Parts: sequence; C-alpha cells; structure tokens
Amino acid sequence: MSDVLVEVNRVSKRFCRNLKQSLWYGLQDIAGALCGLASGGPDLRAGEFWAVNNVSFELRRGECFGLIGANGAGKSTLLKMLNGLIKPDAGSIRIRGRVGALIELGAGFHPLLSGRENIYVNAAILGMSKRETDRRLDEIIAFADIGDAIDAPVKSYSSGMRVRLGFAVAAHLEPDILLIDEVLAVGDLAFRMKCYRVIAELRRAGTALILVSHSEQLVKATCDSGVVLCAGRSIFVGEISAALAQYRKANIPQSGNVGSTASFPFKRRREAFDGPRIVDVQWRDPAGHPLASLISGKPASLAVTLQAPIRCKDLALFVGIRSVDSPELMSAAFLTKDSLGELVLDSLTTEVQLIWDACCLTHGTYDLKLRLEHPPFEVLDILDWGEAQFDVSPDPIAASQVGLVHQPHHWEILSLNATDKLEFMTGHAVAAHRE
Amino acid sequence: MTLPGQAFDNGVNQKQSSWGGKLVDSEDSANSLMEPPSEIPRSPDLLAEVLYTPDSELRRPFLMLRSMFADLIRSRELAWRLFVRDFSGQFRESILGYLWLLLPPLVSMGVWVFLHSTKVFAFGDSTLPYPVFVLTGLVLWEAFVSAMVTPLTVVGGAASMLAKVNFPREALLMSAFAQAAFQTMVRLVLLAGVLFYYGVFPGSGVFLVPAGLLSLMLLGFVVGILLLPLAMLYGDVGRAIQVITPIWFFLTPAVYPPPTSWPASILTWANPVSPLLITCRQWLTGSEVTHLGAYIAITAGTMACLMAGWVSYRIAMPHIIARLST
Repeated sequence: MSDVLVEVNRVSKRFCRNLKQSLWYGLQDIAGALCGLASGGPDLRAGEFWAVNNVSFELRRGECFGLIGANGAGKSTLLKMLNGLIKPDAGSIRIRGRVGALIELGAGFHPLLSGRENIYVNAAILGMSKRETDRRLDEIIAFADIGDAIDAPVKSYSSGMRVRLGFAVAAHLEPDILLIDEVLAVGDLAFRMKCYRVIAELRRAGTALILVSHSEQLVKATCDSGVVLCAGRSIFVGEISAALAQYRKANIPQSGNVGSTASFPFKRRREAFDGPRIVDVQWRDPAGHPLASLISGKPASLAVTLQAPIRCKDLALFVGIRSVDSPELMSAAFLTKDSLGELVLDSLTTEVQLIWDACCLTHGTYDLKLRLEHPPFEVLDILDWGEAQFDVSPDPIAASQVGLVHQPHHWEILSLNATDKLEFMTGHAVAAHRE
Repeated sequence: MTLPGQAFDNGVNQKQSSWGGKLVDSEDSANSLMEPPSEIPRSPDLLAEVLYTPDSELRRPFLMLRSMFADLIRSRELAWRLFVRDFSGQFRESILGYLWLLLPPLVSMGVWVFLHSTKVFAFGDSTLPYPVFVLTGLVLWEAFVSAMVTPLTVVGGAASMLAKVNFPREALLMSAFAQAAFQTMVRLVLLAGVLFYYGVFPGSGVFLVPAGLLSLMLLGFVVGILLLPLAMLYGDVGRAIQVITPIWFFLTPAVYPPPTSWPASILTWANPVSPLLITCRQWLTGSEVTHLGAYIAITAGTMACLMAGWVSYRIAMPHIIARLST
C-alpha cells in the first residue's frame, strides 16, 4: 500500500541500567559505528535488557495509533526511535513525510529572552523557517493566549505558560506524522481542550498520529488502533478497545502482585496494632456477596472493617473516589460525620457500611481513598490513592456511556390539558402558551 | 469521527488548497470534498522517505556525504537563530554587558605588561612593543581556546534538546563556531586600536590575517569536535581540558617570543598551535614570516581532521543520546 506512512519492522532496542556500564557500552557502540559496524546484534551484553523487543506495526495516512503500556514498558524509547533520535539495535523503521513531535514543548527556550524572541528559537528548532514564523507570529501569540507576558522573559513564566507558548508554536507545524508524548496533561482545562481541538484538526487534515498517553479515555477517543507494550514486547497490536482490554488484563493483576495497587476485595497487611485501623475493604451487592467490580446504576455497598484495641469515640471516616484518568478531580466523597454523626468503635472489630442505592460512577477504573480520623486534626489511618483500585463496568441497558456521572433515571411524558389542537410548537412557545 | 479513508481525502485537498495557510475548519474541508481537487493531490510517494536501521551510516558513504551537506544547508537558519539566542541572552543579567567581550584580554594584557616591565619575567626581546606583542598573543590564543571549548559547552548545554527534538545537529556546531568567531572579531577591533596607538602597521600581510585566524580557530574547533563524543559521555574530558588549557597556554609562545635554542625550541614545532599563532601574529604586525611551512602543513591536517570530526560527531550522536536518556 502506498499510503503507509510509518512502517515499524521487528524493532528492538537494548539499554543498560548501570550508569558506568551504560556509558562504556555507549563508547563501544560509537567506536563500532565509526568502524562501519552495525550497532546491536541479537544478544545482550552483561547488564543489558531489551527496552523494546521485536515490535512491528504499520500506520497509514489519517490513522491514529496509540502506544499503550505501563511506565517503563518502552513507549518513550519507541517514540524516540520513530523520531530518529536513537537508532534501533535490530529491525528497521521506514518513515515517509515530515515528522512533528509533541514530546518536548518549548525546546530551546532561553530563560532570559522574551516569549516573542523564544517563539523564533523554538520554531527554528522545530524546523520552521523565519519567513514561515514571521507569517504565523500573530496566530501563534493569539493561540498561546498569555497576554502581555509575551514580552516578559520566559524565566518569569509559570510552567503552564511555558507549555502554552511551546504548544502554540508546535501546533503551527504541518506534519504528515505527529508523535505525541504525554505533554498535554499539563496546562489548565481550557488549554487542554484547545490542544485536543488542534489534534482533531490535524487528523482531519490527514496527519497520522502516534499517541502515548496514560489516559484510557483519551486513547480510546482518539486512536483507531494501538500496540500494547509490556516490558518492551508488543503483546497486542490491533483495534483500540481490544488493545485497552489487553492492557488492563496484562497490568492490573501484575501490579497487584507488586503490592502497589490491588483489586477487590482488598485486605491490608497489618503488623503493628496500637490504635484504630482500617483492616479490610470490600464492595458488596445488596445480598452481601462480595463484588470484584461494580456496574453503573446497580446498588452496591462499601464495607470497611475497622479494628480498635480500645474503645474509641469521636471518630470519623472519610471515603474519596476518583477516576484514574482524571486524578485531579475527585468523583465522589463521603464523610461519616455528615449523616451518621460521630463514629464510635466499641468492639474489637466494627464494620462501617457505605450504601449506594445505585452506583453513579460511569465506566472506568477508580481509585479509592479512606481516612480514619479523630477530628479535627488527628489522622489515625489512611488507605491512600493508588493502594486500592476498582473497575466499574457499563450499565448494559444504557448504551451511551458518555458524561461524568451515571444518573439512574427514567423518562415520562405527560399530556397536560390537551383541549386545543396544537400546531408544532417549540418548547418556548409551549411555555409562553401556558402562561 | 471520520473514516480513515475520508480523512485521507480531506487531508490531501486541504493541504493543497490552504497551502501555507492555517488549518481550515470542518466546513471548509467538507466543501472541498464536494469539489474536484484543483491540483493533483500530493501523493505519498513524493514524500521524503527515511529509513532507520542499526547499520552504520559509514556503510553508504555517498548517501552519508549527501545528507551531511544537505543538513549543513538545512541548519543555517537554525544555527543563526541559536547564535542570536545565546549572544543576546548572554549579557542580559549583567551591568557591564558586552564590555565582557573586551575585558579579559585587556586585564591580562595589563598583568603581563606589568610583569614584563618590572622584570619579574625576563623574556627574550621581541622587535615589537611588548603590549602589542602580548595582546596579539592573547587574542589569538583566546581565539583558539574559544573555538575548542564553545562546541563542547554548546552541545553539552543542548543535551536535553538533543534527546527530545530531531533537528539538524550541525546547527549546534555552526552556532558554536559563530560564537567563537564573533568574540574574536570583537577583540580584533580592540587589537586594531592598540596596533594603531603603537604605530605598528601590518602591511600587505593583513590580507592573510583572516586565513591565519581561520586556521587557528579551525584547529581549536577540530580538537573540540573530536573530543565531543567522549566529552558527552564522560565528564573527565571537560575537567581535563580545564587542567590542560592553562598549561598549554604556557607551552605556546603567546606572551613570550618563540624560543630559538634547543630544547625550548621544541615548543615551536611540537605544539601545533605555535606555528599558526606565530604566523598569524607576524601577518598582523607586518613582521617577517618564519614558520610558513609548518603553518601550511598543520592547516592541511586540520582540514582533513575537520571532516573526520564532523563524521564522528554525526555518527556518535544517536548513541550519545541513547546513553543520555536512559
């Protein structure tokens, strides 16, 4: 096919974790290359590992491809090879067309120069000519939208402003292939929306996109297909929802073993026992059976088991829930003292239940935080973000899973006082008529 | 969401119709779907194609040379931009500003003239007034050193940029050389004033001064870029340069006349900087040229090494970046 823009063919790259050894291998590679030898080979040297191992995929014009994987899975290394910054140690990458990269925004900014001067520097580094930059300068400044700060030294900018300015320049490139690393996560919401609009426009213009992001929602909304990397290997290449499913399958149990996050039911390992503690957390259905994951709109309860060595009163339990995709915003928060009043633990083990008539969370993965405290200041125990995660699957009846919340609902239609025969009327006209 | 095929059509039309313009909105691209394209759509076959493999670039020398010179041309604008950036950013946080370009040679000239006039150091006599002699020596030596050190600092300072953005790497070297050359030129103006003050006139040799300076600076530049790959990996190189440079200065007849008797005369032929510096000073001050043969030989060697340095810089860069960013 002639419209294949990127062709990655059995690409591998090896790295070394030990710094001294890594530098020494680097020197060997340089010496080898200067003697005309190919870098790499099928074998690893002592202390090396495959950062990217035998990965292949193709990308056509107008497609968007996601690189999915946990931290350290080799996504950035692959992106660097695609960008021509580093050479593969095996395999080949064929690229047709102008490559743009949103990997580092504001590359080459000089802190003492003004934003305006730095636009020229950054644009030149990204391959824009002076003439092109002159012509687009007003557009770029308008897009960055940082007001008078454009003439202040970049040193005085906040990190958000730097990113805005950097993205404004990068957004005015017209690449055939655009590589995007997780640069868009910085910046405020309005700016992020602007970024997504630019990306959408580029796609419409036929630009092929390669996207690295941890936001499943973004990847799902943007990409057609993707590759799932796990410790450098591609474990799945293909359609994006299948890829995301593979990614989840490959990573969630694995991370549970490591002990950083765990799925439900969740049990805490506790050694010392000198005060009230959260020992067990469980989702249950109304019949009291434990649930591994929730379903939007279905009833559920969170059972928190507390242990106390002595009788404790005036306690409070806080439960926070947030989506792993947008950790900056809590999806829901609950406090025992709001509706329950003070929490008293008068037996060794107490179970506190948070009961939901219907789960209002939409489809996704959520993070849980629990805090057992003695108000106002004393925190007795915390189960922090990232320690326990759970999935919410979509309500099979509600087909459209858009929006931030799942509001249990039904529709009703009533005919009020239908004595007159009515013409077609708009809502406003109906309201006016009733008055 | 549009189908991939549809997006492809839109893209082709749009890139043609809004050539150089901003991205058009969805309405425009929808319209452009209706109309037949006025120009032949840009075929992907016409797009520049790059192939990345583990093979060394040296395996295809002609392709490598072609892309080296293509990159050199491509990087002119960026080199200029980086030069302007570094130059104009350099003195913004200082009171004396651009005066710092002139102060170091003036101050050290003062010191050497004082040491010389109080006979702390007894050098063999030169035919030139000592302030003229010492200032030419210092300016020329500094030209060599800055041409050697600037590539190291510029490329080292751009490490994070190199690891993240693909731009023609030659731009960094060009801008580094431009920085060193500019600094030298500013000092030459100062030197011209001092020469005029002491009534020393270069005569017809003045036309050879640019060539002399270029040889001297290229020698420094070549030493710098040959050391670059090693210096990017190991901090030892930078430290060694800091130690060696002042010693090298004293082993170069910059502030004292070239010794003529054995064994000190070894300095004038075993040290490649000496013949270049001596010859350049003779052209600058209208003195008799004594080391022309050595000058020509060293310049020729420099040119050959310049090419080798450039190739090694290019070839080493992806390996350096791989080690920088792990």
